[in-house]
Amino acid sequence: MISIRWFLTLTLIALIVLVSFLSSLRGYRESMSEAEILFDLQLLEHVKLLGLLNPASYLEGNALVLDDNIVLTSAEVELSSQLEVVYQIFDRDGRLVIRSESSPVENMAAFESGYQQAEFNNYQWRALVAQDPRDGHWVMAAQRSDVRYRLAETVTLQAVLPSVLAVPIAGLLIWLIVGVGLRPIQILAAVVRARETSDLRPVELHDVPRELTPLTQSTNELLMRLALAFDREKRFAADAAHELRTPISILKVQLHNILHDLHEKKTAREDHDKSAESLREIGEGIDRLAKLIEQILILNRTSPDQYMQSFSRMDLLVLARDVVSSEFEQILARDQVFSLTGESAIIVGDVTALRSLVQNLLINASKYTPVGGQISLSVTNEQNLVVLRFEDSGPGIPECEYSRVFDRFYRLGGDHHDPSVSGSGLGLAIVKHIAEMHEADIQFSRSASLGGLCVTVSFPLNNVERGK
Amino acid sequence: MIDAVVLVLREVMEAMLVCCVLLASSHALGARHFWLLAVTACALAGALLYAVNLAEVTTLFDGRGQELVNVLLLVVSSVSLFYYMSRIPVMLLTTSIAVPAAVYIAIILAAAGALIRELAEIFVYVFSYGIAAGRTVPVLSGAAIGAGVGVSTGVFLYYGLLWLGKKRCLQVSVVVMGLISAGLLSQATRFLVQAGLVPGEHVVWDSSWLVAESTLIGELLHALIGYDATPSMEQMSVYLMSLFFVFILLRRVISTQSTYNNAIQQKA
Repeated sequence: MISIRWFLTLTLIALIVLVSFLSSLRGYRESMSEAEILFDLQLLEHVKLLGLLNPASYLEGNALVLDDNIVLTSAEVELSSQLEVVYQIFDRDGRLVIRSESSPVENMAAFESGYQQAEFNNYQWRALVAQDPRDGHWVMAAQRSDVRYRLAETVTLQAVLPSVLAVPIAGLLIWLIVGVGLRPIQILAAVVRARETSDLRPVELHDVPRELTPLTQSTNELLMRLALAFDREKRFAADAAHELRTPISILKVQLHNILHDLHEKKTAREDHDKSAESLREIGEGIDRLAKLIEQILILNRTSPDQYMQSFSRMDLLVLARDVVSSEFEQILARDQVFSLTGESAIIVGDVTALRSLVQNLLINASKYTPVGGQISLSVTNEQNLVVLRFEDSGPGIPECEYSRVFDRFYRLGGDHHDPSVSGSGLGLAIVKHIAEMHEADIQFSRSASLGGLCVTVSFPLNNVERGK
Repeated sequence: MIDAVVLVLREVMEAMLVCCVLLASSHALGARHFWLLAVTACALAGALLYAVNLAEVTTLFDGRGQELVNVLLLVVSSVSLFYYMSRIPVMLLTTSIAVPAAVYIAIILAAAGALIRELAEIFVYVFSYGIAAGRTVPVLSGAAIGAGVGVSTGVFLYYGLLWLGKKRCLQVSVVVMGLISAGLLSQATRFLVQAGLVPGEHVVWDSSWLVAESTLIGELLHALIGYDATPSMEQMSVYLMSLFFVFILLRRVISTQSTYNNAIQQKA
């Protein structure tokens, strides 16, 4: 089926044409046949009338006697007797000159020229009265009114009846056609309804009508997004639980130690110092935990299916400068040489999210660059792109790890990562989400000038056009 | 009016049969329907040209012009149908969705060849028995009713074929197109016999007492399988040879479908 609309339009028009034309044809044929009978009877009446001119008629009591074989069927004999036209002729003085067999002896209508209603022989009659202007003779002819009406109705009914009978047939066929037309919708609904709650595979239907294609596509896209979101949430919960377990275990051990000390009621100076040290470590542990939870929340907020976009135009250089000034203390603390170069570059984006992106990349660069090392940040306009580039003189990332570092909770070196470098393993995952949100491309390479890692984030310029 | 209805209905039904089977089968193969516009334009122009110049055409080739033009149209139509049918198994095997231009041309030629003859007959009838005879309204009304009934039946035939599903639609289409093509070639042979170019003296049988060609069933059989009440030996030979070719094609289509069962679905 190509299209439900075309199918229903064409088949219903075809059905109406077939039903109405065929019923018209049937009505035409029946009416023609009835008209033929009427014309035949008219001829018969002419013959009878002419017969009255035959002098022999007078001898037969003013009535024409016809041979039986002229009127063939019994129905025609019946009709002929009913359709009979009766005649009377009077002279100018109102004396009956001649009459047909069935007419009364008295004048059947008033002596006034024109059409009249008359009543005789227990029936209503339609009479026509005319006076001969030459000698004043009156000629009267009459026909039963009920027979005239019934004959006219018979002819009309033959034309109308097929259409009346065709309507219920057409109704039944329309019901069936609409059923066939809507069948693809019922199939789609049945396929979706029959799904298990956990079955998020795309719906596969063959020969889907044009009207249902967008619905099938969007249903499949929705199912795909749901499947991805479920998968992501599942992994996220598992990763978060795993990452939170370690610091919580450490905190529990430290709390246990303090409780133990309090229980022993040790009052020695050194034990006080030890407890204070433990409390300080607990405080640091809680800080790390709070930071980790904050990062998890940022990550969740910047997920493509969570984020509510609130984009505005901004200068990426100004934003980078702002972030650098707020984080400069950490760079100074590690005695690193930092340079910020570039030009004004307008992009459209979410200020908070982009600030988080620059901040994460800057902190990462500072964290992984040795004390006294070099870091450079540049903002440039290149063709149709705005490019933000971080370079450092650190050890960099092996090429084989480039794709994996964006994974949540992934740490370079796995469980054997450098313990001196703190972090949650969520920074680059957040950076990637924010880049995707801004349709930006993010690339890792080896820095040609500084020898360490080079991170390039390219924002498309149509991003700017969109924000206008 | 009834005469106009019967004549136009007969011609339109013949044309619709060819067009609907082509439409449904080409849809099953993934073809687009734009060719219908080209066919309508060609058929209307060709039929008008043929009808207007009928007198001149008849006098050509020692008075055998009309028969020879009819033979040309019938042969073009049936050969195009045979070519189209022979391409169906090939198209089922290819993974490409696009239908080759040659197939579109074959479809257009097959449909236009069939339509030109039928439409020309309708034009001639409407002009000579209707407009020229002063019976414009009844003849045009009858022609409209006949055309309406014929086209409506065609719509149901088309959707009926699609309703069968792609596999059955193609099989039924090949059988119907095969019978139509064999009938067209048989008709062409008959025109050649009438033109005196083929002997055709020996009539194989005379079944006009059973089904006369002028009756409704005779007309339907003529449109569907090329029924002829008094076929000549030459006509029968051409008809049977065509049917043999159709039989081979049908077997190829069915075997291709069973071997590559999923091919049609992938193309869809």
